[in-house]
Amino acid sequence: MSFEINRRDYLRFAAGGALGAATSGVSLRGLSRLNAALASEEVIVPGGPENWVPSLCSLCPAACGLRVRTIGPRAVRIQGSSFHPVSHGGLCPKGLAGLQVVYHPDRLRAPLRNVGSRKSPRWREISWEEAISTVAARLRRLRGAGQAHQVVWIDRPERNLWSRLVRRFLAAYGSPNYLTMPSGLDAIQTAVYLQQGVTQPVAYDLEGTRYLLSFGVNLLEGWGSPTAVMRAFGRWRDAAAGRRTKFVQIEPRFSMTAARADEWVALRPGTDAAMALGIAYVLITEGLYDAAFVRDHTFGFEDWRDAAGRTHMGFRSLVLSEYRLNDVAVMTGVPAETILRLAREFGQNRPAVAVGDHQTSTLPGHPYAAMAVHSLNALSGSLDTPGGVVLQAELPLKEEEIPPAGKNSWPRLDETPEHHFPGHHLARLPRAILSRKPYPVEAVLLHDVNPVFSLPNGEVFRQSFQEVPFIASFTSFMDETSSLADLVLPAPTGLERWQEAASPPAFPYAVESISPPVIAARHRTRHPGDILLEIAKFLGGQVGAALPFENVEAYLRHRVGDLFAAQTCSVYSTRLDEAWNRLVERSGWWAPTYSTADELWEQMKERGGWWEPTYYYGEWERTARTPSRRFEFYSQTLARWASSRPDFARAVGLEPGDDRLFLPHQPPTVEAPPGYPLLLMPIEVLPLAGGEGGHLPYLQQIAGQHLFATWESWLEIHPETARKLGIRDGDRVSVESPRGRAQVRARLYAGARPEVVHLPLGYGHTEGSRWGRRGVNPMALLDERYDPVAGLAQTSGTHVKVYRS
Amino acid sequence: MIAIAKRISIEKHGIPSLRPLLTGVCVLCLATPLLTAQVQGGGAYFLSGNTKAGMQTFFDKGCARCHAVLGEGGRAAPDLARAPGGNLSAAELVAGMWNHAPAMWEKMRLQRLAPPKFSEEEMTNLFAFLYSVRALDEPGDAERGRRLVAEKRCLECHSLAGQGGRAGPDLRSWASYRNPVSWIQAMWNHAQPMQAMMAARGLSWPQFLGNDMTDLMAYIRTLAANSKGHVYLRQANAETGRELFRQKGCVSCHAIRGAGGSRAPDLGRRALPRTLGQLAGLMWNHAPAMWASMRAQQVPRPQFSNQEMADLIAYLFAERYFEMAGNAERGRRRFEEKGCAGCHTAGAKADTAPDLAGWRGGGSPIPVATALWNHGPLMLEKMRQQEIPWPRFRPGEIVDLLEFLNRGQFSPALAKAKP
Amino acid sequence: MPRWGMVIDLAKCTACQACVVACESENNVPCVSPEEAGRGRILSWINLLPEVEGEYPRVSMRLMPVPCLHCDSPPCILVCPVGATGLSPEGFVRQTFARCIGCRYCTNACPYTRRVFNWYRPEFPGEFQQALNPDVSVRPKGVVEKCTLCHHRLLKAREEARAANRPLAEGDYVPACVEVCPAGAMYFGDLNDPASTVAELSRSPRSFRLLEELGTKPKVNYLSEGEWSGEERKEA
Repeated sequence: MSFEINRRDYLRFAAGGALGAATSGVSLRGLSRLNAALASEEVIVPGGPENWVPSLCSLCPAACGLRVRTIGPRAVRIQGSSFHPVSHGGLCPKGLAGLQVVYHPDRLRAPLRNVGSRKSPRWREISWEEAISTVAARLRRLRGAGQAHQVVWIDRPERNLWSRLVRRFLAAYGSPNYLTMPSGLDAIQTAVYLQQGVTQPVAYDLEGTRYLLSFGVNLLEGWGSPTAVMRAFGRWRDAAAGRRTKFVQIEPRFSMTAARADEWVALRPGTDAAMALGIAYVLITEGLYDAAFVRDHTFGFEDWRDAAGRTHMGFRSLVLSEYRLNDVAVMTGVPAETILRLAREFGQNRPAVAVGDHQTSTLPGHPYAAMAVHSLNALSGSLDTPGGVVLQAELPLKEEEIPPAGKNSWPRLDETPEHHFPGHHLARLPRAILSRKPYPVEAVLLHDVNPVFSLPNGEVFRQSFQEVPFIASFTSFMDETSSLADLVLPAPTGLERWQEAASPPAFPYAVESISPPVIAARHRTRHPGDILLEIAKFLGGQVGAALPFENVEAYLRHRVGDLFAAQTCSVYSTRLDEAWNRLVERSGWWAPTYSTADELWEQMKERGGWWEPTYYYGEWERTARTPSRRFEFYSQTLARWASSRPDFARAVGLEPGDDRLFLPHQPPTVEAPPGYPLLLMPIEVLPLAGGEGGHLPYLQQIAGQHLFATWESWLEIHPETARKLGIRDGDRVSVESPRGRAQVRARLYAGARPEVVHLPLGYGHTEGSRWGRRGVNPMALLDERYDPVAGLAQTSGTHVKVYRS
Repeated sequence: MIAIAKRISIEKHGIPSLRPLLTGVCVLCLATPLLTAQVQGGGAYFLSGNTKAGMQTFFDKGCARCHAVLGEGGRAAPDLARAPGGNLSAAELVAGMWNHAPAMWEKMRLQRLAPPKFSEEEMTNLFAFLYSVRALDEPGDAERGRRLVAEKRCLECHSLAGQGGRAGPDLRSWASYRNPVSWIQAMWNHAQPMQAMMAARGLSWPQFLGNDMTDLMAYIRTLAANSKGHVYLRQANAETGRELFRQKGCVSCHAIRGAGGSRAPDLGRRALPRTLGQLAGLMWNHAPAMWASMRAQQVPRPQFSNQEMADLIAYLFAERYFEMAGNAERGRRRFEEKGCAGCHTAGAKADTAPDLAGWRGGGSPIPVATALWNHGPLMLEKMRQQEIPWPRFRPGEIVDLLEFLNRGQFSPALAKAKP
Repeated sequence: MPRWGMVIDLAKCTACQACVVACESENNVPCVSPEEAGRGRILSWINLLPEVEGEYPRVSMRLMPVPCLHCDSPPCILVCPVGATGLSPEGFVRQTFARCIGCRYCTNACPYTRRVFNWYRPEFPGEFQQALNPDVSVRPKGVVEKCTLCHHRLLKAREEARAANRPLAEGDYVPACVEVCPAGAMYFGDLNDPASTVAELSRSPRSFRLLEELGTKPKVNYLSEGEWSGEERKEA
């Protein structure tokens, strides 16, 4: 495609949808006078001694390493740390906006007690002593009354030292209810559990990948560890590195990821599984799959006979009979020749990896579709290979004994009888609260989470939380969920506190970052960890004994002792050291830069952390823990679980005994209900990845740059669809689903599929920052629907109608 | 990895006795001070290199565009960690470089790459890097390992993933040990019962050649479920190794370049395998013979901790970096035979070839490598014009030549001037 | 005399806009109100410019980060009635705020629309003022401002090099946008030094300059994605 830019084109390109600044009506002389009059209004920036201090980014789970410039007591600049193994000196726009978090005018400034009601809260500032003793006394009373298990803690889905601290607290206290927010990787994680039998976080060795098929994964818009993915992208296209990795994006919308991919394939919504199986069809019929790998390391590829002598359908038979090329072309709306070509490319370039299905940093896809996509990785032999799909290495931390606290056999509230898979089902909590089954909930403690805003059933959360006798929330900003609390405990933001982070999502290596505060904590805020330890001390007994740490720093220092004892890995360092350590370690040598745990601690604080730069590929026993000790196209794990669930087949929509129940297959797509002709698919954009960041002006300014949409939600609609509905670019329109209605500005976008509209996540707060309230929250419109296998929220299947307001 | 800081004493008139005095030879040592000071005329100089700086040089100068080390780097030229085989001294490395240089430059010319220039310090580091990295064992080949388990009949005694005998321990229990030296050491210390058991079953002593051990390890790792953690060996210290060589009684039979016992091979003169793991394997292979000889002489059989074994092996490696002293007379003959004397004449003018009277590299081959890169392409061009073939050297010849040059004997006038 | 210039590899750019935020944070660029932003009055000095082409499903989008291109023949300086803008010997197109009368002739003359006008007094709500960079002055209302290639960083780097008694090395002076690029798509250096990375890259056959036919001689070079071709690719 050739492209010429002329001046007119360029101006159109630069000015976009916004109107250029008008230049008439002001005389030169007038302006000159105006200017002189304003000279006194200049902003004077105070100076001071300059320092560069290491820190960690707190704006997403990737926790990139930072170098922060301070002038006296002020932090004035955030930059990537070149030592950090995830970001290597780069940083995404979210991280760079971090200073607006620290100095945000709408931060919480003191502990707050709700002296009004749940429905109409009135907040009163209280002292920390009062806040802590309120929580601690409540917890002590509940524990004394044998209701410890009725305390629920909700946290972010990270697996770091903080989560270990909280889990340890709860275990000693006597509650099984450590619940976490959903992650965008939940579906693929389910597939990895069903097909590989492992629960370790899945990861991708993207830098080494030669060919990447992304099934609607928003790789460049916040998925996984954004900077790590972007760095890999830069390397794929580094002319000096020689070969270019081909990256194909398969999804209904022309996303920014699709725009930057080598090729975009427009897919009918929800047909990712069919597309993956169509590619499998070509790989199988043309013999392009890794036959040796499939023979040696997989189960259920061919038809097979079980112990009872019954023959079962294998993956090959399923694909060859039901996902023939032309059928898949009809199902997916992708031309057969495109599927054929992609499959051939996928089969002929190694390592070739498929990621998906449709997922963002918070929204997962469908487990069957994820199994279909993951099966392509087995066909290309890319499991636990360089450039392939790997399992995140684990930190060598000692698992400490936790003293048993009373009756510990209470079920977790997010484990439902219908779903019993790794990943948690927080969405099911409101039902447990409202039904008081299996037991009532007496207290909810929230840490930096906002389910009322971030989950499709947020409204149900709001209702159920009305019923909870006690709620406390650790947060830096007021939010929709915290506004339901009795106590709001303001936390310092990242730069003001001890921080810590383990391996970020989808990153292959074991990582532990640690950073001391860069500047003093602002306002009357305190580290949640310090509060938790103080509460533990107050509770005393087993709880106090389980958490004998003075403060968070002491706890982190204690854990670094574990890392030291492991006698492996190295402190963050230059790329040269990293390459060197890798060379040496692969040959069995370890050359540490420290000789005592104290030295390690000091070096970690200075360099930002510690990691294992070597990954040992092809350790098959670790990679496949299924009943067959192989990758299972036919999931025996699922079959065993389903054998005691007679209603499972019906929930999936198949007959009991159908082998497809346990094989990857295309799940039924949702039919549009009458009167709701358009499909609403929520999207995540990088500046507001994870639906967070709307409170920061820097990010609001750039969030909708592809449409020059700033500071507000936009509804992406295909120009032809808009024309039929009488909608022009920029019109205010109503988007209505059976669940709700929202008013938003329509933006005509050639990258939207004619029958699909999109709304970005992260807008439309009703609480908190002055800036976060702009736009609408699509979650309020989405159907509450869960997949039958793992109970993951399916957010991409809501139908709406759109009309001019 | 192997940062070599070695002091070679040179007798008064520049005749290196090459009686090596190890001053903190540190194998697998990361933060080594960079010692490049040459003490002129004082009778001693330091030869050393910073291996990590050498790695930087390797990447910065573009070597990695074509060459790989242990699989990391370019594909166009040989992996310098693997080819040429064997444990090579600095002189051997230089000889290899010299002989391949014209072909290498030709390839670079075709790809429009300018031959890089090096300072002596960079070359020193580069050599330290190459020498060290060559001593590393590359990750094994699991598939080959699988065949080896059958060939070596390990499972006659050992169990592995539920198969095999019960007499020995399950091989997977060692899976977290990442260093082949650890494996050899574990076997070494349990060799006695193992030997008896094998004799009883009529099994021959297993031999570990080449990468056998790492291949076996790679295979066993694939079978080890959830092998948590990795056990590495700490950086080996050649200085400690030297001490151990004495303490454990090795020196009573083995010599290092003549110093020590004579009942067993001189380990300073013997060709060693390329990697540390392979050397450990070699030691294992010869163990029964060694023990028999020790029994005969009533020397106790030494036991090693795995770190001790690593240090010992590192010592032997560090020793090998430096060649034996050359022979000046042989060097003079080479100088004439190879046609060097045709251009490099005494008092030669700059437009032909430099007078090498000023050559003062001590016994070190590093300046040869530096000169080769910095002036070689020009020299090759001039030789082409005069239709002189590029001379090739064997490593020993390089050492002899150096010795000859170092004594300043090639110019009779100069030789006379010196006492 | 160095001639500072930039190369942006469009094949490596992920369109993440980290450069945009890095610039705003480094250069004390205030965020305008949402209403002003809606009128296209965002003050950022570097923007990601998108251009959607084609119809579903054959859509393509070009995304270019565009800072001031620091032309060697900048049309903007010719029109300034008060000499508030000029080309420095090292090639910076500079703006002197104290002299600027806010006539905005230059904003119109710049074919790349890389100059912005301060319609209002800069606002740093709440404590945002705390995060201001002391090396960069905050521009008053009524002046035109633009990318300086983080000139203050050059001054600082020179000072540091002088203190260490060594010449300025490649990489000592890098603007904020280039420094932060997570994909490594932006390069910066001395175009007059033939050995510099930027000089080498700008000789690449993929290299082109935006609207070069206008004779502006920009010092920001782009490396095409492959699909970028056209008039501006003509080799000199």
